[in-house]
Amino acid sequence: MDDFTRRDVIRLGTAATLSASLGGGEALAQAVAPPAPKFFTAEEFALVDELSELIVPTDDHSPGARAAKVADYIDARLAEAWDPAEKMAWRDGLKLVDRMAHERSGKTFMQSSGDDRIAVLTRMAEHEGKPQRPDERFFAELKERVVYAYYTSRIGIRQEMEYKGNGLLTEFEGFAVGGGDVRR
Amino acid sequence: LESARIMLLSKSSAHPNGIGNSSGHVGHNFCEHVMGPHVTGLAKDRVGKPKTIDDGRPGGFYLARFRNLSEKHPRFIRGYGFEGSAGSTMFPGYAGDTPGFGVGFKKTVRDNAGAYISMGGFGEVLPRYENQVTLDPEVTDKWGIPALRFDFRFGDNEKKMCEDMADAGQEMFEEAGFEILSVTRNMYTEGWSIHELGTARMGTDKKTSVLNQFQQSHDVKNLFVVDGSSHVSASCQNPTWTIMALAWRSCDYLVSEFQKGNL
Repeated sequence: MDDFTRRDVIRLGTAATLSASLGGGEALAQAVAPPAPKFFTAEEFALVDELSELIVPTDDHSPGARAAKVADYIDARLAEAWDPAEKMAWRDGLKLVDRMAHERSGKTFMQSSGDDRIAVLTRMAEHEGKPQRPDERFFAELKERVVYAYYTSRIGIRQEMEYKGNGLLTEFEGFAVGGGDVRR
Repeated sequence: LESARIMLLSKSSAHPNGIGNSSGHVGHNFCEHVMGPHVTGLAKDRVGKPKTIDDGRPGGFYLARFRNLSEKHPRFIRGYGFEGSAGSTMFPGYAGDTPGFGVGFKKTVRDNAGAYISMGGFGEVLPRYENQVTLDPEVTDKWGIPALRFDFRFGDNEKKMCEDMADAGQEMFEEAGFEILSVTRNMYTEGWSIHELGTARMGTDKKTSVLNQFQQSHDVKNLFVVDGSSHVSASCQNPTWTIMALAWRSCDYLVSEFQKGNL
């Protein structure tokens, strides 16, 4: 499953829809249904999944955090975390995100409009690098985990960063030292 | 350090201060390396360029010591080198420090890959008699044998050297045309380098040193201390190769002395 590209997922989705209309959809739908989260509740998982995609979205270059299953990764790491405080920080942090959304729009984060979601996240990122408030501290934790999970995923490494692995470097374009013409 | 500990623990009527310690220098002259100040920059020419196979290169880069070689620095003696790295890596370590989120954040991380360069100073900590390890009167290991107690502080020379690391690193990056993202001036705490050296130093005078040039005890001819304890100074290089080279020399000497019947 890890090797699925976004295109595969879309194709499978289409296949599932098609075969559903032909009566064979149930088995296929089960085959692509994600396993239940190990740590998060279903609602929390959906929220983490959405937050991760907002931080590293799909763009015209590569798929984003959702396709890279960042929420799955974070869920698995938290399920095996030995520090209860770490788990609690995530539960509290996600509640706080919903509370902030509610203060803004009267709805949960997931029920809020796209603009309201961005506005909440922007507020959480207000003092990035020097987080003060609980929501700012949670943003730092959230982003660190999302960034780590995404850029160590197959999609992050191969598609987004175009990592080529070890290989023979036959030419190095180099850097013009001091703006001069010293290129090595 | 364990060599010094064993020597200090090996007391007898013939060696009341520990074996091979007639000089009283065992455990003293503790030295290591000082690090901390580093510079991070962006080579703007490289931003947005196609990805290169930088992992195919061996390691990072090293700038050898340049202070106090031909000209005397007014504020400190000895010197330091810079250890650095640049280029594309499998994991973009700077991504977490790239501000923001969303499409713009993702593009910045992508474009800047391969354009980062950073380097940090690696300096010599001077050996001083008062920097020492002693047998702890209270703390023991799990066999009840005294552990070592550290009495070690960086001195003024290390502090001045670290200030220069930050200044010189910044100046080099500016001259090279890198956009400077951060200059860190803090020293890492004592012991950070985990290069513990000098607690049974070598020398020609048995009153002020523990070992001779073959890492052989001045006091006890069949005692050799073959590790970093013999180093008279930490220098500004990693010590492993020096330890290996000295071990080689010690072994050669040991074999020839043994064959001559001197040991």
